[in-house]
Amino acid sequence: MNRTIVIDPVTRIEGHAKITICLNEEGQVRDARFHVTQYRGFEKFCEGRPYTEMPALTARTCGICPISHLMAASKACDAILAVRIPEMAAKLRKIVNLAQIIQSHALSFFHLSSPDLLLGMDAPIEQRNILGLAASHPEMAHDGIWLRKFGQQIIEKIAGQRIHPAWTVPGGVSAPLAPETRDWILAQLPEGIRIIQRVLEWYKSIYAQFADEIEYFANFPSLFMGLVTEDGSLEHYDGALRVVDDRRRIVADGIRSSAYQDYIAEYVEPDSYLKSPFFKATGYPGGIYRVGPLARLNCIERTGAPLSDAEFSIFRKLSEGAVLSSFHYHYARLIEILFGFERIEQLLNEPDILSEHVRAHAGPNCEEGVGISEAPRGMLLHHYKVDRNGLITWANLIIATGHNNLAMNRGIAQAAKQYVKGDKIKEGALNRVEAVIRCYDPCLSCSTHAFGEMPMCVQLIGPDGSVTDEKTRTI
Amino acid sequence: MKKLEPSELALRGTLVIGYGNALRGDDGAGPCIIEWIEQQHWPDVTTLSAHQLFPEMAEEIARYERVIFIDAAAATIDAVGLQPVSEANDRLMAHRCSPGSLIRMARELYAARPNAFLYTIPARCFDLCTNFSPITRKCIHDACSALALLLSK
Repeated sequence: MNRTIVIDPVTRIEGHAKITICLNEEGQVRDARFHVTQYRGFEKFCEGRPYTEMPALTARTCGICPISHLMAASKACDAILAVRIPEMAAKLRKIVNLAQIIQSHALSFFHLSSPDLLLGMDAPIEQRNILGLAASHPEMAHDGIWLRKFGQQIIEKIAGQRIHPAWTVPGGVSAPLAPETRDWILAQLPEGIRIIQRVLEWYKSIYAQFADEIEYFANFPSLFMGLVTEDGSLEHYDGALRVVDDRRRIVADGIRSSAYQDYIAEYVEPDSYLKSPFFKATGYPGGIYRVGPLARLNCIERTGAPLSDAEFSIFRKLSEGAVLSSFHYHYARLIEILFGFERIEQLLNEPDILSEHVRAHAGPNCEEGVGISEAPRGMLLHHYKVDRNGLITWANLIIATGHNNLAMNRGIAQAAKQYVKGDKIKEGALNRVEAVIRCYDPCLSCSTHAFGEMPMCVQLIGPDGSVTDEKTRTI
Repeated sequence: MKKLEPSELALRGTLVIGYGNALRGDDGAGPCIIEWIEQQHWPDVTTLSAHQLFPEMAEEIARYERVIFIDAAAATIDAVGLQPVSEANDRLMAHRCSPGSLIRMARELYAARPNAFLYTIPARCFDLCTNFSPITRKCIHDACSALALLLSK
């Protein structure tokens, strides 16, 4: 009898999602789909608003990565102004962007994923959280809290508040860096570096235990996309887009933000509010690509900072070509945390970092603007059109998790085929399917611009469409 | 900011945490009360204003002898509620916590056991605005009076 298993919603991710697993007559997984079941409508209700409001408006898409939206929105507005923002403003934006990446990666790794790694994917669900971690690995729990708190404090001290700061504005930023803030951050950075280096050493010592998960967690050839500098180093704010294939051969390079539509198109899925961007040259669905920490490390030749470069050279040994297993998103996140600390230190030691010239002033000079930045989960794109008065007439937001939609679907299908067996829904099997999604650290609140909780419901649906079994996880 | 070790806990003073969205009407009661407390400059009183509670606050909470949470909640009653906060076993959300879960985290992660209380300000309206409904405004005043008696000593 054909059956369909539905996981709805998925736990320990941001937002509301459902997984449908279809079984064939023999009880083997035939297919699996990832659906996002909520809609919010930012692109529509922003129409008619002044472009100057877009950073503040779009930041409200999410409480985890509002900085990312502030960056992409402000860059799109910079393009509408047709200004080149002061150099120090760009550097301050970079620092705050990196701080958000640090705190978000810490959240993803320590709060959402490490319970699976440390306690085991078959551990009771009530233990697989930060408190379960605290009971068995207190230092890891402390480290996770410290890293996330520090990243948030950097944001708060520079931008004024941790969530939805009004500091990033069209043309630059609203306030320069205070000397005492710079000094405070510099004083804390060594502890952050020590912590993440310790966690990296631990991670490198244990990840081989997950050989099975590495093999079957969304491990397939795909394209990878991310920002890089002119010399191919890791970049999260400036630079241009690069696309590489599964052998790390450069497929497209130097893609400026204004040209993204020549390379990326979106397909509307019939069963999800999450659209599926794809690489146009390859078409849908073959033009599947991944973004985020793993993709960024696959796109670069070096990080550009010594300690993270040393870790990157070890990471590169995982594969002669691109690192394909999405399990290694975890590894990539840890390297990016280390890079973030190093890069913040470099920027804070720039001679003019305390400059008070942090904003360019102008009126709308272009009727269209595109801003791209790297969010913790991957490339984030804001595209606005305005009328002559600067009112938004059209907006398109392509979020990191949206870029990864096709890849998440394929990864779920792969994991489901490996771990879901027979007619019994085992907790460990379902958690592994969920864990595949957690590798991508999706922010579904952003990607559909939706808002929701994270309970989970699993349904078995027979070949005739009837529900044959159901499991529910609630908050 | 050195990582806090259990042996370094100072356990003195009071931390007052007011949380809520100041743009959602009565939900801003907590942050409003925090603004008022900050103007009083009471000794050994530290304030923290936030949109919501986060797991990272457990480390901060662990440093104090007493913790007071202030939050607005939809209610039909017309008076400020005050209750002790005990450890909670509710499911932890990565970016949202209850007072009880934070108290539990403070003990499990930092071996700290502060005395904890929750002031609940009755709320009627959570619309997008910065005004308070009459009953919430009255209860904010009542809460401030009560906190003055408690914290000004």
